[in-house]
Amino acid sequence: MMTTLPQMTDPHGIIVAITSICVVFAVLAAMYCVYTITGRFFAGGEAGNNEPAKVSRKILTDVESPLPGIVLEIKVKEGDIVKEGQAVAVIEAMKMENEICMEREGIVTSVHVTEGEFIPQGKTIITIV
Amino acid sequence: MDKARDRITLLLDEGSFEEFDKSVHDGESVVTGRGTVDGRTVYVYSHDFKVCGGSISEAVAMKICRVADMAISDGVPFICLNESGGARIQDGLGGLAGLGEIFTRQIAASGVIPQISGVFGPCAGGAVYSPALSDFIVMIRDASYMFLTGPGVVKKVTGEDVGHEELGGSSVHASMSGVAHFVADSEAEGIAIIRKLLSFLPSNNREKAPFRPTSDPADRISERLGEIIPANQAKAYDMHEVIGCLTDDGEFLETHCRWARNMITGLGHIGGHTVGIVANQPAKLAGALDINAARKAARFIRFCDAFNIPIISLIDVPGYLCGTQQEHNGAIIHGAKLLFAYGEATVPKIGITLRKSYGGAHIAMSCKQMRSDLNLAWPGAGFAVMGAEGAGEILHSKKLQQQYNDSLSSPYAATEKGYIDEVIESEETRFRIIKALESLAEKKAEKPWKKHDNMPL
Repeated sequence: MMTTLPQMTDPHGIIVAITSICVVFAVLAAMYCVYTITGRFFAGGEAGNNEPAKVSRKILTDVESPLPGIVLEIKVKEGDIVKEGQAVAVIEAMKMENEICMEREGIVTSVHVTEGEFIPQGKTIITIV
Repeated sequence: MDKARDRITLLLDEGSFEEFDKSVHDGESVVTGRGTVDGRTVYVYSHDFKVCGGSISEAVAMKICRVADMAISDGVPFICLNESGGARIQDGLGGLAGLGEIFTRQIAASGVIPQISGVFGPCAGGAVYSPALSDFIVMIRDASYMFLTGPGVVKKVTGEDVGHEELGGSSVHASMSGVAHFVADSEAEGIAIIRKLLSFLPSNNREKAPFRPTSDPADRISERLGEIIPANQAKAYDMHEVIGCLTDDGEFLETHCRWARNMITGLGHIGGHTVGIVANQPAKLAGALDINAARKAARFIRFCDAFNIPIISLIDVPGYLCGTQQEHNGAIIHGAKLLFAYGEATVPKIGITLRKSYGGAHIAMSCKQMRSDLNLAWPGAGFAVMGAEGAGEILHSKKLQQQYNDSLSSPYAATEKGYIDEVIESEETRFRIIKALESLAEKKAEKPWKKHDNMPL
């Protein structure tokens, strides 16, 4: 960092000024390239235009109720390992006890409903990883 | 490695393949020809992805059209083994015109000869309409993809960032869109599914499916059927078990296993006769009818009707699924498809009500008024506009609830009016179906002439 600014009429100063401006532009251009290629500035940040991918991940990790009804029983808790086909909850709907079964395996990270609660169609019952 | 020809070799009986048009210039990205499957002639085309991404040029389309025309005139199945990037860009409109020529033949052949598609790799752009126009689609897990536009172009045009699998992989089409009827774990398994499917079907719409003699006795009493339904009306059971007790050796080729699971559709043999089975599944969505279940069953019923395959309906349905999600997505129109399909089918239709049959769903599931030939019921079956409690509430009468269960909804009341032909013991269901199939073997039904109907699509 310079302690004194060069005189603008000084040829040496003009060269330094132009070089500084070029460096600033180069850095901005590099940042733009990085952003368009990776969609993020720093590693670990969320990629741009992420909404559709988020929705898809949601489909895979959220177990939703396929119908509206009353939660009769929750068969799992946080931390449980669940297998494909395993029943994780029972919902009363259309006068029947409907078992909600896993489409894939995973580990339960959270349970979103309580027994006795009325839930709408599409309500997330549990989330898994 | 010649995948295109390897797939054909797997599909056809050994030594039966006769290739056509091998040397046609610019036609190398498809292999076409004729062969036999279990001794029965089929025509086949198989894309070669190595050559120009299996893309369709005018010459490729000409080759495919030739085998399609021969399949139609010979009256034999048309098998499409797909792996293609779509129309060949270098051919300009020629590639698209070629695709159009293929599709027009598939449309003409629809309902005339069985058309089965195996999608073995990426199938994109216009090329997807060939499978779409066929009767059944087999996809391969982690290997096949179907989409109109691939992820690259999607990203450029809409900014949406999505991978092949999420956009159009086998899991998407087997469980969300319903595009794929079968998903196999390998190409060999996929081909085996196609061969098995063919074994249930006639070669064309003027024939009946081949009779498959069985050692499974026609009068086999199935005691398990008497135990399957839980005493508690609110408890579900797995309808697959019922199907397994009825079919020859318990064999059943289910279609759309992972889509609209509240409705089961598939092919089986009962007493040697190919039948199409349509059954509510109480273990999923309480067995209720919804948009996808109606669409799935309606298409299956129409396929069976086109190819002279009797339809056996196993009924345990509480009604249509209610709510805004269904209504806003056109449950009325889609639900009507199921009614229409049953009503217009002229193949033998046999309906067996296992437990309940309520409301509009009762009418939709092969009721007598849909010209069903035989309607049987198990002793515990109940028929009504709605269940007892609901009716009691609406009509403000607890006494009515009791009366309901005793008389109004009982299967015997239904037989008195002729809406149900007979109440039978569950154990003898298989025997009764076989007897009915044999007596209905020569069924012919007349319909007034029309160019075609206006089914609510």
